[in-house]
Amino acid sequence: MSGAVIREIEIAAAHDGVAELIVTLEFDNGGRSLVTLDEVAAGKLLELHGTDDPAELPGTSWTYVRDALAASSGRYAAAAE
Amino acid sequence: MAVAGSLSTVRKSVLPEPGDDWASIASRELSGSSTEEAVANLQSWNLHVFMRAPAAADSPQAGNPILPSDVIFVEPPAAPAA
Amino acid sequence: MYDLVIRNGLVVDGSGLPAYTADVAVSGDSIARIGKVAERGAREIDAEGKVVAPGFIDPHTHFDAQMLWDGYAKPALSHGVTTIVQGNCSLSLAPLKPDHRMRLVGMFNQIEEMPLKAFREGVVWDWETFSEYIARIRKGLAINVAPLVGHSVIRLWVMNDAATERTATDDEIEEMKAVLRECLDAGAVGLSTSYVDMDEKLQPVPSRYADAREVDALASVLGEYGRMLQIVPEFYDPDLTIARLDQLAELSLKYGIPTTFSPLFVNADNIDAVDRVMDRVDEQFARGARIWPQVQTRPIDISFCFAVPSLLFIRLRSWYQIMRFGSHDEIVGALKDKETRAKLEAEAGELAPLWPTLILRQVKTDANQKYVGKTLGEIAEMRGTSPVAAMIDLSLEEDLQAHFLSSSMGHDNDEKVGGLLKHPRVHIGASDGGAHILSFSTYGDTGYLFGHFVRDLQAMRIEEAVKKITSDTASIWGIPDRGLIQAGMVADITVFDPKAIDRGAEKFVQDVPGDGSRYVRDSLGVDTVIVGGGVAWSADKGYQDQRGDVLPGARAEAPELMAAE
Repeated sequence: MSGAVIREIEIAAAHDGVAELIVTLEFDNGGRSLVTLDEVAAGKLLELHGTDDPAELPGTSWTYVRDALAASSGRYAAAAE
Repeated sequence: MAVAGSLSTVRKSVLPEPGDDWASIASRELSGSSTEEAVANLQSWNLHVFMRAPAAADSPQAGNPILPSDVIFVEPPAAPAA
Repeated sequence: MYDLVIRNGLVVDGSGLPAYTADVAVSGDSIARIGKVAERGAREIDAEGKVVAPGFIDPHTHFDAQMLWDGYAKPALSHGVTTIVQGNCSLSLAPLKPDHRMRLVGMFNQIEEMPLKAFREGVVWDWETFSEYIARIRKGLAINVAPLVGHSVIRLWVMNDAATERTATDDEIEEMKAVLRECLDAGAVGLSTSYVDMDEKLQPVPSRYADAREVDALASVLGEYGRMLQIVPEFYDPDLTIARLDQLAELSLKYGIPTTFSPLFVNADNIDAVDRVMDRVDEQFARGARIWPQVQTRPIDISFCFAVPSLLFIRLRSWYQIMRFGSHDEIVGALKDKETRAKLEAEAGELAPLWPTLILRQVKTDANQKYVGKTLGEIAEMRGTSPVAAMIDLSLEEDLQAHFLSSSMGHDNDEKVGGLLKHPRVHIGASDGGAHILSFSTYGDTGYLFGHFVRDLQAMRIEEAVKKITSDTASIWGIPDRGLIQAGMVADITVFDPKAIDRGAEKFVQDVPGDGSRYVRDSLGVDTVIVGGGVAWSADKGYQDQRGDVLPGARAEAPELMAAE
């Protein structure tokens, strides 16, 4: 099972002029990748961790990021049901 | 046309084949691992696939978030140079 | 007598060669003579102390809708831009069946932020085919338009609802190829596709349901014409960007076509990523591929108002809690409550250097208009309070609709961006003109190039900068007879003051059909803009002649194929 974890989070400027959350994931081999989360996805990420403190995110599993992205991206589909 | 110049190695990726989902790509590209482990690895390397709404329930794409145009990485990002 | 003579200007001719002083005479739509011109012109322009350059070409815009009611592409033309490439990111307004109009409007609404009301009140839907759309925008055309046709709309035209459900059949791909040929014959400068864009409900646009076989087939048609393929890669991830540019390179080599991807940003969190991408670009160019990365000149700003939660506040837990979970009334109540307010102000101390630099960019009330464009530091001084208190007070006075801007929050590493802009294999572009109209101004990137990178930082010579946005762009896109100040070239000319050219302050104006508004910037230091030999805009008389054309136009010949046999 992938042991990738959140290594860092930063606020950055998105292409469309709003703030976005840049999550750096670190993989078992030391390789890193960046994932961008919009405000809704970032909020979901905090919710899934049960925290309001982004400082608690580093060290936690990549699966939270996946689930936050999926929940955020599906927000219109969920509303339609 | 003659193609001069060589290409350096980059992170290995594949394009989905017709009907591909996580499990089929995992069994084809990561055959040495269990399906569960391979799918988890694939997903962790390809979080961009989760950055859009899922297909509608009545769509042929329903239940499969992988689009025909997706690039799917089949290995993690390169380790930092020593 | 000439129709127009521009006298005593410093000619920066677009070739990159050193500037020189000369007169430029225009007859009809073409440059007739350069040098000492004794004859008079029916119209004369004194360019003493000013640069006379080819008109600028903006290769990445979304003016498709605006061109239906504004043939000047205001205010882009006033910034010296004489040619725009529209239809980027897989989306054009043609070909378009009546049944698909509202679906496309949803996509344009997401990408351009063009209000639905603007489409309802500003658009008479009297076209379906690409040639009908071209005929439509030719009326009153003042700027030149090089239109891309969007892959998503071709897919929608051929596949209807299935365009966002599945891959295409062989027959459907053949039909798409035929439609693309029709568009290219009607004047399209190429095809755009996207691997990123979504509609207003976050559903991927139709082009994202295409497999590689379909893209290859469409590229083969581009190969018949030697025309451009533009893509939007997953630009937030360098590995994905590299995978996409490798795909482009294979198509470029196979079919002998130019390709371009946009945008390429300098990301502060991964500053080396851009080097990795450019290394790959260099390798692919060395193989003979043409894959032009587009880099924008301007930095990215972050804007917010208290009515919508912003991640800018995520580290300020009390602020973010209130913004994220509070209703409008709850947010107002919290900001008015003395105790809560004191707590918020204390917590804001964590970002103390940020607050005085924030700029007030938009308010509703007349009383606060005087503060628009000023920093919170300046406003606080005028009001005798602190920047944070001023931000809260203004938000309350504006019923949470005070909009603030934190400038240069991304793509703002001058050394890195400047290095990219002058890189021989970087295409200056990605302005997104006409898009994001409710979020920020996409106009004035050329003014910023000359004001910031040429004049202030001296990162580029003026001849280099002009070449990058004129003859280089024309060559990359296969647009003939433009981009150089040379006898016989079409007279698309921008006259500007090199000591003053810049972008003006961002402002919010109501000039979109349906009482819509948008952010714009005025041009600074641009004197006269000539399109097709006519003065399309001048600083003293504003918008004038309408001599724009659809490019590449009849004079274009398909560039010779480079494809492997």
